[in-house]
Amino acid sequence: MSLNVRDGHVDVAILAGPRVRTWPSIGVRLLSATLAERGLTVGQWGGHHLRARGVLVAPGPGGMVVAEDAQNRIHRIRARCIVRVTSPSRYGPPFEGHWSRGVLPIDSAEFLLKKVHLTWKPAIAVLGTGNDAFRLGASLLEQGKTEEVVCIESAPDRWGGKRFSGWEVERRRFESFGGKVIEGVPLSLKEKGPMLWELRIQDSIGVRQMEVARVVTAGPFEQEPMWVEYPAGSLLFDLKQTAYEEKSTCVDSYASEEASASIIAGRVLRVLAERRAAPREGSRDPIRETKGGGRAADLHRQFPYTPQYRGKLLDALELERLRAFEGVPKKTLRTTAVASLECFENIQCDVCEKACPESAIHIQRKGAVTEKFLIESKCIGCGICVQACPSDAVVMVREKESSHHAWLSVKGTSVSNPVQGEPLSLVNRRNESLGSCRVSKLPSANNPCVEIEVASHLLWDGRGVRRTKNPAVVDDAMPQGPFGDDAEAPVEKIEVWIDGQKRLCRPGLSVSEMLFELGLQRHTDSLLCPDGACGLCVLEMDGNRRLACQTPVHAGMNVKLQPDSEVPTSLCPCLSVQAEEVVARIQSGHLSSVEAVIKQTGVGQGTCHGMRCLEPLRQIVESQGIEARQFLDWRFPFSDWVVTAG
Amino acid sequence: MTTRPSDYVLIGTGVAPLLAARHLMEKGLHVLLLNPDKDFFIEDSELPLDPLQWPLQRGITQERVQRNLAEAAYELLSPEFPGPVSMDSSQWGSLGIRARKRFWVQTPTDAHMDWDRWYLLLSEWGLKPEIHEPHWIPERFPGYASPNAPAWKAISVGKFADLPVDLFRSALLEFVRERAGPDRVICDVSQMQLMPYGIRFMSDGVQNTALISKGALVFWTPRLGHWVRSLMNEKRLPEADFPPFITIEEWSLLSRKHVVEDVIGHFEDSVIWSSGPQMLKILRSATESSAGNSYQAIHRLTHEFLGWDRATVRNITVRYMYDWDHYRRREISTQRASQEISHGDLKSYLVSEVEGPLLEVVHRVKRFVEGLL
Repeated sequence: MSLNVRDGHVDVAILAGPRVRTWPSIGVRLLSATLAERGLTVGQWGGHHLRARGVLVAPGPGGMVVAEDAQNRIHRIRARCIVRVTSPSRYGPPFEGHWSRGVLPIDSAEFLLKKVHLTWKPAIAVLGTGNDAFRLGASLLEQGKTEEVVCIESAPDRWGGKRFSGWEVERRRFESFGGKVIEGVPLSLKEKGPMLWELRIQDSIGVRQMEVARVVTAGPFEQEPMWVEYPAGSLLFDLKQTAYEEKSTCVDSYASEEASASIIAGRVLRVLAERRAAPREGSRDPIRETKGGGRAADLHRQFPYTPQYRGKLLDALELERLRAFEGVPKKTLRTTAVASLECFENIQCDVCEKACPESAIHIQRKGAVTEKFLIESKCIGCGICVQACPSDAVVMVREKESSHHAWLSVKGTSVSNPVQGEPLSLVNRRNESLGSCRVSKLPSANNPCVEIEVASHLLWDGRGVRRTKNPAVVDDAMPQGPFGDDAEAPVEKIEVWIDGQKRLCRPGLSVSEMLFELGLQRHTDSLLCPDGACGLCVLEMDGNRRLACQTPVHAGMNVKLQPDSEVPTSLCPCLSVQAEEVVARIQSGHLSSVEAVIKQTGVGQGTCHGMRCLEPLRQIVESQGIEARQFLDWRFPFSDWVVTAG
Repeated sequence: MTTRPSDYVLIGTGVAPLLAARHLMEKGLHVLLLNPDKDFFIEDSELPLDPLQWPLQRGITQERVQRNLAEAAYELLSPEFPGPVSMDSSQWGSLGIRARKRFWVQTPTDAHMDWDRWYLLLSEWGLKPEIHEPHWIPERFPGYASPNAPAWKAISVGKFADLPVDLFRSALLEFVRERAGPDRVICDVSQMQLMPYGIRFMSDGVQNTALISKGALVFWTPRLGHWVRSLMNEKRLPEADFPPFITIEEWSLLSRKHVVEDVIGHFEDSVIWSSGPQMLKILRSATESSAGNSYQAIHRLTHEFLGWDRATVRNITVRYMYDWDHYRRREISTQRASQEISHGDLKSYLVSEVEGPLLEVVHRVKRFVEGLL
């Protein structure tokens, strides 16, 4: 039997790199549509049925994409321009225990949170302070999976006055659920017991110790480019995939990928489209759109908004500033409930504007600067914007002159199954209790918000509600625990044999997920690749060696586990290359390019093809004064490739 | 800014300018090295071994074959390398020349090859070839895992050299940098322009002028092609076609079994050797990168000959080199290995054929510099 190799040619090839979760994501769709509309031939290679294996760089612009289809046919596609979509790097600078099984990249953590019954208690440490980190922390706290989540910022100076990477509104939401943000550098992570790790952090006071169930790495740890062309002028692009879900749940990531794709489209069109067809009416013109430089996504860091507090309440000046904001109502709130857009940063989110049925919210973009306005006269107080805002930055407010009470409407999901008149605890933007309040209006078909009656002087400080710890008014007969659909039906478990021992696990999981659920995961299981790209989690199952992340469990399965004998301490765990070795090699050889460092040290040339160590390497190389931010590794293939005859 | 005067300015991206610098400094001459790349490790056109993949190919001469023998390599490199040279590749701190047998397998697709002539030639050259019967092949060939040996003959000759290119390059660079001074080895230069008594170039955003008393030597590798073209445009070199590119692929395959380490195998047009206990390297020239026939060739090698049930590719590196053999054969140009550059009163040269097997590069640069002096 021989190999079936096919050739093809396109102007622009868009392909999925390793570990890409969503295909095609918004960036891919936008690029394809925009370029195809201008007469370029565009091809997409990604997904399970047409896997891109890698790119071979040509001496001139462009190169060759090699892909494999479901019938194992090899496709060689010459392209004048190649856009590789990759997953953003999540690992930060290495520390002791960095590669231990207690560390999870955020993509894996999000995936496990949705699918696997995992122990997240007593606490979770998240390395990073981006929106993804805050969102994961807020989800864990909101779902009651853990009692404490701490986001750790290792290099606050990188973010200027802001001192953290994400949006203020996301941080506020995270803190409103009880999350904490601290500044410090992780020193070590050591196993203390089953599913319990001791994390030591160096902060400004000294060394702090935390007992955590696991540590989640949620890079990027510095402002990294969302797209890169490397080498310059080669028409070989790398686009970071940040939009895994719909826009309503990850506005920033969605907007960032969209903006990056627009910039790439603009660049490609400038070079490849000889006769640029005029854009169709209503379609995007990436060349015009990208003239701003595409920096809009990062502007919130240049003009940070960090509210100042006096005790639990907002500082008086801060409150004045807040009430003067164009998105905050000035008059109408005295007669009716009206929206208050408390989203002061220069962020690229427009969910509320799109959601408002009365066009009462207007977002104006002046170049890269975004201003938000509330047209009070148009707002009917429907609460749709409150429900739509993914960052909980919109509330409805109503106050009455000379009344001691005011009314605040928050998202209907803020408190489960509220009861009319139920006393609740009012919390500020940092989840600190301000006192009690009570439910005055329940969510309805016309208004999905829950309205809370609060003391009028707390109207501008209270932004959330929690059930009180001693709900005296709650009927004793009310069942405790999850309600209705949330209640879990008992699941019949299946028997599997792990190293000769019988274990019970839920059906429908992959072997990697099962290992996590049973607390038997190894450090090599942590990437949880959607496509099995890294090849690290190989295990012997029923006598065959297979990837644990790609193999579903079945009853009677026999798994031979090779537990971690020792935690790798090296920079490159596959080839055991130490960070000190790399630094010594750079200094002794006067190396001045990342290519040279990789060639000389071999970092990233092991089984995982650099999926774990290239980002930490980049940081080490940069610390030695070598420009590495624009570097792209075009080695072929992306991951170990088993070539089989079709 | 004007740098100290030099006798020669050497322009290149690979090992060749470093070798030439070492020779010239040995004669007491001052050199200045200019590299348009960020450092000397981006150039990837030197091969650790001479493929010698088609035994009776034109250009494979007795001299070339003998130069690749381990002892000859040791004799060539000992005076060239600025450190100890050893025949033990595991010896730390020295340039370890690896000595391995070459093992040519005669496959049905090689029917047109005159294997008897190849055997006689090798015998005439005093290399004492051995003919192996099919049942010998499994034990000798790297990566062999088939239970059934095909009825193919093989010829083996020992022992040929292969070299750690990066170690050679870094030691040489360290030596040159130390001897000449760090300010005499300048990387990431741009806008190089030959002047009547020197060269002007940009480095670190600053315009520099270097005075030269004897000449400039330009070592022409593919990464320097655009600058050679600009010399032609300036009429400093006669206008000529560039040699065509040849694509050299280096495949790294994972073997399930331990790979025989002391043999370099030849199968069809591929050269196969071990680069680790379970890593098989395959070098082959192709019409283009990842050519369709490469997959077929690798498939024939791994499935039909080595007996693997699957081939796991760890890496494919593609190098683009000039096909100097083809260039000469087709008489595209009358260009020789070195060609004078019009540079006022100075004697400047364009030195070509300085990529490919490292031993060949060392030999050519040595011959050129000896001729120059």
